[in-house]
Amino acid sequence: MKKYILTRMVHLLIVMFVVSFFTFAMVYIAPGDPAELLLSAHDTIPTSEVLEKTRTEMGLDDSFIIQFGRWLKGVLHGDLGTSYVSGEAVWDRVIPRLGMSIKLAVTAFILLVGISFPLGFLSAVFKSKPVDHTIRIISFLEISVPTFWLGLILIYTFTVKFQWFKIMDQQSVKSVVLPAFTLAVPLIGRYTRIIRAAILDEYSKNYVLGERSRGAGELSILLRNVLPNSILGILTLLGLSVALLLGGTVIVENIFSWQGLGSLALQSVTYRDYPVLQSYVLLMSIIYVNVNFVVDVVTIILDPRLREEN
Amino acid sequence: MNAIKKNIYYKILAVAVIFIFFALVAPLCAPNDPLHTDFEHVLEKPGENYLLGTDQVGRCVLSRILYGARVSLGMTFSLLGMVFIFGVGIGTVAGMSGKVVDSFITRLIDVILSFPEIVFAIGIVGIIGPGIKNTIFALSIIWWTKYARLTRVLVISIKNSEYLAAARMAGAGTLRCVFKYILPNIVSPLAVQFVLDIGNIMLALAGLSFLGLGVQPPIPEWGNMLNEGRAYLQTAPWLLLYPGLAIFLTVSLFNVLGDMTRDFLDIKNI
Amino acid sequence: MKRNSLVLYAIIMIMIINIAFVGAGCQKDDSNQAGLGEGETSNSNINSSEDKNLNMAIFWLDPNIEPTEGWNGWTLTRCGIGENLIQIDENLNVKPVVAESYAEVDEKTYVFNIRENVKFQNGKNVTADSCKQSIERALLLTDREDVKFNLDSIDAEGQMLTIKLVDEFDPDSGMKLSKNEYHWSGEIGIDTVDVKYVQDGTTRAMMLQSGEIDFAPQIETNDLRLFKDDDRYVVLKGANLRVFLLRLNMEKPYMQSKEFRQALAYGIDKQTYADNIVHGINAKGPFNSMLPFGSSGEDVHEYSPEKAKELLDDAGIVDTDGDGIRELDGENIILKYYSRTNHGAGANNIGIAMQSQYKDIGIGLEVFQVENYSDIAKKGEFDLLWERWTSAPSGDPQYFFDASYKTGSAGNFGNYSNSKFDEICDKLNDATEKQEREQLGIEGAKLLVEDVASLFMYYQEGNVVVSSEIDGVHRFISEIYYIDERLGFKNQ
Repeated sequence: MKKYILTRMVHLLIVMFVVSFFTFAMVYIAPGDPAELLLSAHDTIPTSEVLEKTRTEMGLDDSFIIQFGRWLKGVLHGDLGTSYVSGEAVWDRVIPRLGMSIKLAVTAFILLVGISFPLGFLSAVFKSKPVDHTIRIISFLEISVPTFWLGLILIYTFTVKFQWFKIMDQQSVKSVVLPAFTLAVPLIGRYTRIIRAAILDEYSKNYVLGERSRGAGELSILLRNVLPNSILGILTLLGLSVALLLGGTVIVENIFSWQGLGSLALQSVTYRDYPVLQSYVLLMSIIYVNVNFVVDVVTIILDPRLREEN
Repeated sequence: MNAIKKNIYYKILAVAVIFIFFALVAPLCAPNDPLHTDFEHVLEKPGENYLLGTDQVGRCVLSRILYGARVSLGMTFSLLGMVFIFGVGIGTVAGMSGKVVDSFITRLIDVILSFPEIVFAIGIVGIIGPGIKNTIFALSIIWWTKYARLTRVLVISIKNSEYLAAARMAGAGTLRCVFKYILPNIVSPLAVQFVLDIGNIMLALAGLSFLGLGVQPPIPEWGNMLNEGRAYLQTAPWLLLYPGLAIFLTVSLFNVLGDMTRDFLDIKNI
Repeated sequence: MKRNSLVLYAIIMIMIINIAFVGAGCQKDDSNQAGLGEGETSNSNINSSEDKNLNMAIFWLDPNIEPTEGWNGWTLTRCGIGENLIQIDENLNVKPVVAESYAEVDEKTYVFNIRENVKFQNGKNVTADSCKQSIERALLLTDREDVKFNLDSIDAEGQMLTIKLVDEFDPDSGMKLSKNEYHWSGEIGIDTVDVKYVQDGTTRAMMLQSGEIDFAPQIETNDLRLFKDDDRYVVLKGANLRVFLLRLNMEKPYMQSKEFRQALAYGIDKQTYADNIVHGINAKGPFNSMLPFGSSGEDVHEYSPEKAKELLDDAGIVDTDGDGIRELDGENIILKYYSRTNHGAGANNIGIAMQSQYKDIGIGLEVFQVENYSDIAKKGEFDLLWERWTSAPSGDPQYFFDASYKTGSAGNFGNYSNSKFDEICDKLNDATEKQEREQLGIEGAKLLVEDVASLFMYYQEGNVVVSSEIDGVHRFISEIYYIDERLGFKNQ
């Protein structure tokens, strides 16, 4: 198992490296002269000499590989470049925003687990009963609803009509509930279905019949065998949901005026502030691959079968 | 699948086909020009003059939704068509080729899938600029991998089957094997994936348009209609209600269709 | 107003400069209170019942509040962080603030008497010398040519100027202010102010409804009805001196044709836009008709698509390839229309309306609402640039002319140049009689309209919506002040 985890770690490092490479290349081929873009951040119309000097200083005359190497070294030292718009270090601007986005995504994840597990569980246990039908319809609707529409409706209902929440408040614990819920809704629908299917699938396996014939109670079969066995598969899939959570933050942050990395990225698109945009793509992807790495490792540790294989 | 379910499936399929047909002929059934601004009727409630009301510059909401259907479906199907053909092609190549090509393609897919899809799309659009074509391009770059991955697995499973060994022995060449024996056998799961993706892609595209990155005004599209209507959440809720419902219902329709196609073709785990 | 209007002109200058002065007060201090001013701001214990906190929203905030940069001075006066020597009050009268009184010795000499008991937030006295230093600093640092004035000499006596910081400042979300305990007017009715930066008018409206804020300016016209008949809110609205205009970029080959520009003016139904889309007053020129030199009477280019087409045909700008869009030198004319996000929905909606009407006369239009507006303005990447101007904040035309249309001036993003117009600007420099200045204002405005230097779209009614618990809010016609020392809570 140790060997497997080590291999996975090496693999993770390679993937992170390639991801950084792609992210760098993406901006490298972007139109516009970085020196000029940076200088215009300081409200000056640069002369060609100044431009030339800046270009040399920024090392833009070096080859792609050297530039990439320098950039990567910077990233590893917490230097994500300089914003074309404010002229400030991107790192300082991006990190607090990332914190806000993570706060949002983590809360959404907790809601996702906290809501979809019981629902999927109930749905499977009461298969083809009214409870099951209701839950299935709800989860179907959750998958189909556009979050940006839902978010607007929620804002109107709960801040304007009922005044339970505030709109611009980002500090209090309560403030994160509405955006996080909006972010989680489509995933809740999806995972309710996945969990239901996984549990039902497990029930259909032969050993369940064996347990039954040995006289084990339904509850004990459920808690001792079915649940633990199906949870592993679900765990892997939950790792993948992180992509949807991270991607979804942009829309939710936009609707709820949430000061996260997604809304900053959107701003940087309109400003053509590539270093900020680049940091957004890089950080989100790095988080994503790392979460999946952790999920992988946890699955290995938990799953006796896989453990034996290795 | 029993007869009643089959019957329902055919009905839903028919609804979807009719829907697509209507979207195509939107120009014929729309009561007004979706871009025409009627200043005498600005922000008018749904009623006699305009069935679903007018927007902030007096454009007919119903007509815009109908034209929007064409834009939405057009974008979705062209994107899906592209990624389907490309993905299945690459996936087949990977599945049929030797280790070097196969592992290269697999690694490439792995890397692309290391980016959360919307994050990646925003990165690309941010660099090449907003717009219909650019958004489709950005999403295709990431979406084809799903089909390539699925196809590869399916191809490999058939490649090693006795069924194909028999065909090979009968003297079938690689190309013939692919088109005659492999693709027809893997088309069902791919089709299910295709139908299930319609709703997802529609939501992704509408979301990007909502953020101002996709379809640009004045072209009517449901996502950007919602974006423009946001400012009238309280004073003209119909600007949000109807385009939102349009997305919701259409995505629901295709999701039902996807679910039922899966049951119909009896495919699991997609 | 009998006063020589040059005085007023000077006053507006001094106003801005003095925003600077107090603002300078806000910049570089290490201590924890705000600058001078009816300023206020926060404590962390906002929730304590003892604390009289006002939550307000503003629609404009730049990355910092250094008063010598851009329009930051307005943020300082709007939120009561800074004060002027004198100001134009809500009734357009001159009101002494930091200066107790002032006198005009001759045409070019003014004497201000600073109040005895004015103190910065740190308790240091505001003296004539600190005013002097502030003005000198501002003149030295400002990046706005239009507010500079020729200073021959400035004399003062006094002590060192000390400088202060607002409690918290974040260009993304806003700032927290706490009151000046030593304010010259006595005890201030509010202890702290939470200033929230909310660009979007609809969001400001919803925040008022949810009770998050007690005060918001510039609510979208459509949303006003949400507050009108609700006794929890007070809506203050009325005319202001603001004009919305579309600057034309004269660098573009087609814009150099006067016929083309006239066609652009004839091609849009401004009256209807004003009535039905933005609920404002159709603009006849750069100056609101409330002003003595304001533009009134008939619209010079009243909506007439026929005339527009005729003019375009005459200018040889015709559609040769049958795609419905006219060309110049074989290239389709597709204009780019830019407004800034915080210009609000109205700016964008007029763009959409124009798009549809220009289509009728064979001109393409692309409408953008962007964040990087100033970039686009500076680089001249626009054809039509949406601008919001308080065109005569001091009741005098020269400032707007000089800042915006004089050849080579900093705000002249479209590079408009007209020697006749420049002559008028020069004459304004020398003219001292109010009547003469007003006459020049009328002439200049007429020239700008007839030459289609810009499309002057509409005058907006200004509004401020306040929670009815708040007392002492006045709506200033100039809208460069929102709150001042009269602010308080009703029940206290």
